[in-house]
Amino acid sequence: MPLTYCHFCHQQYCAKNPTDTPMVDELFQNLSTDSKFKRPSLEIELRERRPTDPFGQLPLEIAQQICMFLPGDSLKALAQASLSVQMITQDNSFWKRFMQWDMPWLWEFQTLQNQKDVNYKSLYLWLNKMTTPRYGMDDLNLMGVANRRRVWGVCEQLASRYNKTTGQAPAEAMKWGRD
Amino acid sequence: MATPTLTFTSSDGVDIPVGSRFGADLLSRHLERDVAERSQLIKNMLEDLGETGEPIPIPNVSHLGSAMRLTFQSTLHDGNSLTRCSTGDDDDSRRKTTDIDEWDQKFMQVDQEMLFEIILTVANMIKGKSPEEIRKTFNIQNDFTPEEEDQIRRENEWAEE
Repeated sequence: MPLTYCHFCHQQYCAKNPTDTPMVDELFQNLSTDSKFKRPSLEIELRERRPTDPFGQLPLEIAQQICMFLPGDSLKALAQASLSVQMITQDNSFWKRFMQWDMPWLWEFQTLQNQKDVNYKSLYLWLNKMTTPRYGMDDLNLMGVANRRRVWGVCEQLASRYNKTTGQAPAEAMKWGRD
Repeated sequence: MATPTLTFTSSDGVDIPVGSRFGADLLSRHLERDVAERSQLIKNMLEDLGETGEPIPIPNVSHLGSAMRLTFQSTLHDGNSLTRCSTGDDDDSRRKTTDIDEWDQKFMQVDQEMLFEIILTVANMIKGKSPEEIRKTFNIQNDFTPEEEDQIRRENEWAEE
């Protein structure tokens, strides 16, 4: 059955051990020297600029919290739409916090010490792309992480149902409380 | 003579009577006339159209986000509520937090749960939209130069290359 075999090949990340991922440790150990993550951050000149959109009228904490609840693609779209949001997401430390928030399944990153000269937005964009479970993944090194992300996503859906039946707060609310 | 009931119609065709309990599961507050009139847009419409009792269409406002937007945007778009709490360079315009008017104080006295619901609602209104759709939804003017737009787009697409 060549067709079935081929189908399996293209989804082999589903069979990868999600916890046996030595490549992640290696990646994080060498972050500071990886040229991909040393790109200079884009900085829009903000002096004399007075954004007119509603996000600029919000307290910074609220605006940033809205950003935190967005998936990466939507956050990029919002920052492209709003100068205010571009301004509040220009900071490198914002992207580190966003990564910790948005990628809870990347537990190696949660405890990572601050790395000098690392562009966290680049790191987020790259990891987000490389670990998105998709048909025909070809990066053997990150397949285990992609599988972990897939399993985590399924568990999150189950968790929200479980929380409803037990009367517990949803995951977002727990995150909200955490900060 | 009794004042006619005021009703808004959202862009997706849902009537929202003012003073009724709206979106009780989402925002446990009433949409009141004075809240709606915090929006200069709605205030002007009411003045222009008069109070005929006919539903008033509110463009670009879906019923899901209506309560939030009618409260939030009225404050934000007018740009004269939250921002004036901050101290400016001009001594004449400098105000202390004690100068916040009563409506603003009440507005900010939302509990954590409600604030969480509002933030989540705004995030849900953004999810899945393109930058252009987001601008339309929140009435955002394009404050970028074409060069900046190009720079941001290239940076965001870097990993996709």
